[in-house]
Amino acid sequence: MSGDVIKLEFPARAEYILAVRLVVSAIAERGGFGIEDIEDLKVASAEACILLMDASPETLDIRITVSEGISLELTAKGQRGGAAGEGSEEGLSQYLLEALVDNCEIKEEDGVVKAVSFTKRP
Amino acid sequence: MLLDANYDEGMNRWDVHLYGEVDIYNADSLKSELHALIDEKKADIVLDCTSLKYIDSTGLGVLVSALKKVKEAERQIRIVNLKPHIAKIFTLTGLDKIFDIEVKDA
Repeated sequence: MSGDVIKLEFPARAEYILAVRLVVSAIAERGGFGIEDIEDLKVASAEACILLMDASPETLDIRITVSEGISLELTAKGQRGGAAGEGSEEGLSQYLLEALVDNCEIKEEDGVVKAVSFTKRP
Repeated sequence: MLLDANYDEGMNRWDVHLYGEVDIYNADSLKSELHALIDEKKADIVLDCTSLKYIDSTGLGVLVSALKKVKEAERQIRIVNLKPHIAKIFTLTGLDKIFDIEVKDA
């Protein structure tokens, strides 16, 4: 699997976060990660989505790279109409994300999270 | 359904079982259900997490809001049978300091 890249695009809506968790955990399981690391990856990928969804984007692009570990790059695209987003919880998302993975980077524009990337090594 | 609840009159306590995966999709409905219980009876709550598989930050936020509501009535929430990987989430966020938590052995 080393060097493989998986690209996903999801509507940025709450009902799809379960699917993101399932995809990431399945890739991690096949990549030889242990149960605890897989749980960390599930939480981290979901919290990254939650952070990005705070500003109601239209879609989430997710690029997963399998190498010595698993790297995720998540990017918010577009803007949905309507009210505020399905917000993150008082900083808990960012705190969990940074605690559970390696090399976490959160990119903001005008105070809005636009991209999140991180790596998890087994 | 995310929970089932029974009121123990002798103990003045809600015994609540949480099920499945609590995430951004269903956290609001869990909040409504927990707050409805608290409105019905101001009592301690024991949350049995034997069947809880996953919780995210929005779910943790719901538990914190329920705790605030319960504490207004000078009651407490006790969380029991947490799986170790979920207990880790409570520890990392410091919520193990504000909830009374019991972890289930792996």
